[in-house]
Amino acid sequence: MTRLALIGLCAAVIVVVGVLTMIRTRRLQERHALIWLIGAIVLGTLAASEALLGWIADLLTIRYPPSALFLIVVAFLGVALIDCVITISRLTDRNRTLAQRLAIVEERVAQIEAREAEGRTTESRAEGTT
Amino acid sequence: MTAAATSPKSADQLRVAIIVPAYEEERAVGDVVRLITENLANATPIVINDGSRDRTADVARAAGARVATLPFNSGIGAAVQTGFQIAHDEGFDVAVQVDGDGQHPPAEVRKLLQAMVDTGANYVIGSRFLDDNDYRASFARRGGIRIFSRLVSGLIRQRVTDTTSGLRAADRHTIALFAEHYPHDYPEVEAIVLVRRAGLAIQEVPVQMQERQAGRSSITPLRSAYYMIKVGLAVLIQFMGRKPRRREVS
Repeated sequence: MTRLALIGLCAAVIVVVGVLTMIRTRRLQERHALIWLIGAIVLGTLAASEALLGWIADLLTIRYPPSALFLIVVAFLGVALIDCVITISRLTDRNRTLAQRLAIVEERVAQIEAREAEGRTTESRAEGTT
Repeated sequence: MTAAATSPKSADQLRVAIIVPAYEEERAVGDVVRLITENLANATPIVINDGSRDRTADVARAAGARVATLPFNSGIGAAVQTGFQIAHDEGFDVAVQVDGDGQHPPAEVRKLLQAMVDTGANYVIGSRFLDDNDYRASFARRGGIRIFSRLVSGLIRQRVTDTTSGLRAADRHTIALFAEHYPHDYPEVEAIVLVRRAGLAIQEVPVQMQERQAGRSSITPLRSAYYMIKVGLAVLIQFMGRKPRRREVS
């Protein structure tokens, strides 16, 4: 086994174990973990199999196979990052909508409470006169 | 396709919501609210307090406004949209957007309402640059304003002189559109393109605006470059993007 294969496999195992631990401790949702697990498995497989990596490097006309591995890792990180940014955008959107709904509902509650308080004072005043 | 006018009601019969977005405007918002209630009998001032840490909400409430408070600062777009959502929920005929810093005299609001009734436009913008006006802006600011005027006028094929005006009136159709879609960061320019893309009619009327009574403009020289690029890009994307779907209003 080459040193590259060893390093690649170690990295893959660390990512898989780390991600699984974070899922277990509920710091990471399965939905977001999937992309990292797939990435780690692909990295491990390519690092371990010189033949497969060589074939892919050939296909991409990259003379030095480990460069192909780097390219794939960079591409994967790009995808993971975009996934992250999309998630942040969606959360920002929902956060704003929630803030708006909260503001509207609170104002409505305040109106209802004010009306009720007004009703109560006129009631008690009516009772006082009788 | 242009939606029909709100109704043949006169300007005084309309139920009008005045949306006042306010972020830390405790010194100006009270007078803004009082001027609205004194000058416009058929208007309900609704102050959207955008997560202010000062007494904006208390001052506005004491002056007689309804106050909806966003739990944290969410930006002018989100604040104004909250006002449109309330107007939509409660079936107001018209929602007028007025700045919370006292730049817009309520008397000018009546001009907007009258123009809406007269022309049947769905969205009326108060312009500082139509006809005679004594509004003075810095050279750079005028340049920026002119660029946006050209860009927007070209895109929507209708002359718009004051794309950054914060004084606007929206009818039921536009309220429904804005309750669902409203631009975020610097919404004024984008909103015009959005309205036109939804097939609604826009009308500009000349208005007078005053110097702000208190507070600072959100547009500092430092942010101007960012503003130009961001808004320019947003307008182009808005124009190229999917047409906003708009729910029909009875």
